[in-house]
Amino acid sequence: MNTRALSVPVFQILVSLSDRQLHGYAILRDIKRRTEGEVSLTASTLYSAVNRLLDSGWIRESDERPAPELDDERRRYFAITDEGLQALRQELWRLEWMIGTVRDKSIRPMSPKDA
Amino acid sequence: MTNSRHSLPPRAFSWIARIVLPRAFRERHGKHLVDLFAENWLAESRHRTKSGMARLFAVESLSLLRNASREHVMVWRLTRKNRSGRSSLMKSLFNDLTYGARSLSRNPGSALIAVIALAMGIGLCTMMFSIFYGMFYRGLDVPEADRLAIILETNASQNQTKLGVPPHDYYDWLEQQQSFEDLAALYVAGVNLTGPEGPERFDGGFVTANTFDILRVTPLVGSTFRDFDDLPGAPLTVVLGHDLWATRYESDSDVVGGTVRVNGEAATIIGVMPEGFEFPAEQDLWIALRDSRAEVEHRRDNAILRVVGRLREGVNWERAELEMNAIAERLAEQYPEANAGIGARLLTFVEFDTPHDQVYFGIATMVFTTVLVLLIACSNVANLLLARAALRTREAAIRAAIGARRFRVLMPFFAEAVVLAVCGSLLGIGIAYYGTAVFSDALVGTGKPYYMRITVDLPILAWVLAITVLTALASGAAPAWRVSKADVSGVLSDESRGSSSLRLGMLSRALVIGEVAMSCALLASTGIPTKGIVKLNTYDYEFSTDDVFTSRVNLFEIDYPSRTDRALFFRNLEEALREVPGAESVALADMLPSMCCLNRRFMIEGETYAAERDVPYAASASITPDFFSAFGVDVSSGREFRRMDDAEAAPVAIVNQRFADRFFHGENPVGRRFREGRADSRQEWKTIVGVVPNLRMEGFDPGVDAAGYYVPWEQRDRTWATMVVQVRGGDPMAVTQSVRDIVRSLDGDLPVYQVRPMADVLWSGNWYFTVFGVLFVVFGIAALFMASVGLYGVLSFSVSRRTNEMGIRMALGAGAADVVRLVLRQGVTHLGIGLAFGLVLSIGLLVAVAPLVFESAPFDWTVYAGTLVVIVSVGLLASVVPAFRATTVDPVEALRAE
Repeated sequence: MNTRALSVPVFQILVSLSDRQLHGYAILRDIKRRTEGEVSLTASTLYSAVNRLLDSGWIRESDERPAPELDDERRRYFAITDEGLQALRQELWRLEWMIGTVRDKSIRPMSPKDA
Repeated sequence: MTNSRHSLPPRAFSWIARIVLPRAFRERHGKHLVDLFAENWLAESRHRTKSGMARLFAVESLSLLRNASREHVMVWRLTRKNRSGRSSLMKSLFNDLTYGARSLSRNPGSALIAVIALAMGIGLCTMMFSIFYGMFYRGLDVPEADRLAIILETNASQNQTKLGVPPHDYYDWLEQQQSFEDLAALYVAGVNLTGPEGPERFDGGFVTANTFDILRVTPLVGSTFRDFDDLPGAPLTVVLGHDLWATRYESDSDVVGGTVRVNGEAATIIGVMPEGFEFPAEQDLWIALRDSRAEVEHRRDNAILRVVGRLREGVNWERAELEMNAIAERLAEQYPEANAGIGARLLTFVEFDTPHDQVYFGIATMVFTTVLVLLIACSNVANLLLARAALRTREAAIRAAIGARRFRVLMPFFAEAVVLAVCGSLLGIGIAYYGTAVFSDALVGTGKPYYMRITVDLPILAWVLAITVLTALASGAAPAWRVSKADVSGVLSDESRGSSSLRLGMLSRALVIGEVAMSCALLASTGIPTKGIVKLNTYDYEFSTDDVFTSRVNLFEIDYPSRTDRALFFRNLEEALREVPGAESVALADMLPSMCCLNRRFMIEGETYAAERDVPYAASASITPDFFSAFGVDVSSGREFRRMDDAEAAPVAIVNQRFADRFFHGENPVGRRFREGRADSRQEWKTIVGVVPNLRMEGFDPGVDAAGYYVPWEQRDRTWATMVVQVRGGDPMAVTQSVRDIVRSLDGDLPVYQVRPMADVLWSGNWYFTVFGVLFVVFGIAALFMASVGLYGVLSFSVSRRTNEMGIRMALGAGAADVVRLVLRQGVTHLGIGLAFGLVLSIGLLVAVAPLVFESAPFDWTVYAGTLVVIVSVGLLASVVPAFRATTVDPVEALRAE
């Protein structure tokens, strides 16, 4: 088990892009909605992660555009690549595997809020 | 969205992003990143408060900085990987720095001057700011010191604003007030400690039991005072200061619980305070201040306390002051004869301890002058860098022409600035620490408040360094920026424009005019304190200061209960002192010249006074007959005191010249009579028998009148005496041991203290004239030095730029004199404009520093004349040298360059 854990921004961006193409602000909103506000990326953190994801080829800039009347021409849309999807699935597997390794112990999860 | 993009925060964000992000990242994502921020900003602004938006901006900006630095690191790692073996960015930076250092060292003179200028600017400025901060702003080093107030009484009708508080009022305040958690009361006084360790004199603080609790300080050993320690008649208790505990008791913790005699009364030592705690001034120990209301006759007796209170939570300063005044009014109604007209006033500790506002302004002005020094330093460095930049335009243009990136073109310019700034800063930090230490040493023993520590404050140092380094870098940036914008082919194709096209001339000229103005102001404001120092050192005090030994004894009233006991002791003491080997003349007094006495009211026989406040007052001293001869002073009219002017004889007095001039308007006062007290006085008339010189009865405070009079020692009851011994030839302190032996033979429990020659007595009164005067002289020299090299640098630079022009002029037949005149004219114009500004500035400075100067007169024309002469001659010299150098230009050489 030697896959490195993905950082929170990278993981969440991949999840957001896993089923559709989104532009930067839409990614932010999607992450906020899914995590109920727990994860809120700053603009620079988002683009820093996007930069790395683009460099490693896990996401790409999309050529497809929505209908022109809905579009803002300044926006860039991002799409997940096959490698990106594979990395995300490996991460999901890793997380499940991690949970599996503690299953026969009598330790219960706790929300950081209860700490 | 369009609107939000143009509102301030998104613009600021975009500005930061442009600066901090690596170029590649910026080009790829910069615009989208800023758009994203703007979009988010607009969305959030609908449901966030102003402070929420501020937080959002802060979070976004900080995150931007963090991410940018991460991106930089990545870029750096990549480039290092890609061109391993070749020079990295860091390496090229390093190269530029060494190149900068090397090119500076090729011209070590100007580099050294710039470094010294920067160092002086940084050092003096930091030092002066530290002094200023330490004296007026650091304040007490106890928890929540800003809620501590000193409460004093006022008497508006007599113009009194800092009256001591009598015990009666203190206890009434304590009972009635609601604004303070608690009120303490204290006064300071010298105390005699006796015990197996021998008699010694210390500075004591008499404090109510709650004082330490109000300050929220805890003892190192034992305890502080308990509630019952200040009750009337409680057994006496003391708390020792750290230094006294360490020196007298060798830091022995067992001393707590032991006893010591304090002013003759047995006292129990209950605790030791930690090191550095000397509240309120330089106290060595604290003695419980017992409630003495039962012992005083009148309500206003013993009005010597200062009251200290800690404001209750939620009570502000104004409310507390109102309440205290309301209480004072109630007391005035209740006890009209004692408390009528008495108000209350709250002060901070710094307000209380600052001698007068004038000193504050004087020192603030000195801070301002060091800022001028710093400005001069910075403009010098700027000048130097400008001059060098002009010479390097070609080099930079070549770099640009062969394809160097702008960054690489600019780096060498910055490199020189960085090298200068670093060297100057290091030296400047040294100067700051040294100067501050010297100043701090000069303050020891002057009775300064204990919290007044003069050390280099790191925030101040950091601030001054930041300003200076930024200035240095900015002055590196100005030429660099212009060079990088210069038209490469233009510069390379036209030799002469290599320098002149930069148009650095204007900036450089403005710098010189500014420098001349600032140096002129500084020099003029230095001249007055310098004169003051000279005056002080050559001052004719009208009394001898070199051969007089002084020291004090203080009798315990327990051991010498009656006036006759005390008179007998002092008579024996004076007799015995006459036997000291080397003693020429011996006297006892309750004062010393320059360290005089309290004022007393008196009425002159035959005069009437309309109102109580018209009754005059003057300094009043008591002396034995040989006092004047011990100081080598002759009575100018009438006679000295004689042995027979004793307690039984008719009261007599000797007045000083100012007294005679002021109250007798030039008539000879000998034979006239006056008596002490106010209109209702029943005291005996004193006959004036002689007149003496003023003898500095006013000390060194120009605000105090010098009028004073002397009465015979035996006609006034005293518990202490200053022993004055005029020593024949040699060192006055040689008699110290004999004097101590004599006092011990009379009373083994009496400490001899304040043992010092008369010269030290004078110094303790006028040290600050010297200390501040020397500081000013240092500032002035620094300013003069910097202005001269600055002027010289700029003029010689402008001459060197005009070499071609000179050559052509001379080839066309201009004589050497014409060339000199041409160059001089430029220098003189700068000088004239600078001087005009400088003189105006200096008038303001001089008025402000006057209180720190010995017998000053701010509008002293000799100082202005001196300043003009110095600045003009230095300025002319700085202009003449380059002017003559210009005449040596070989026309052929000059034209060949064309």
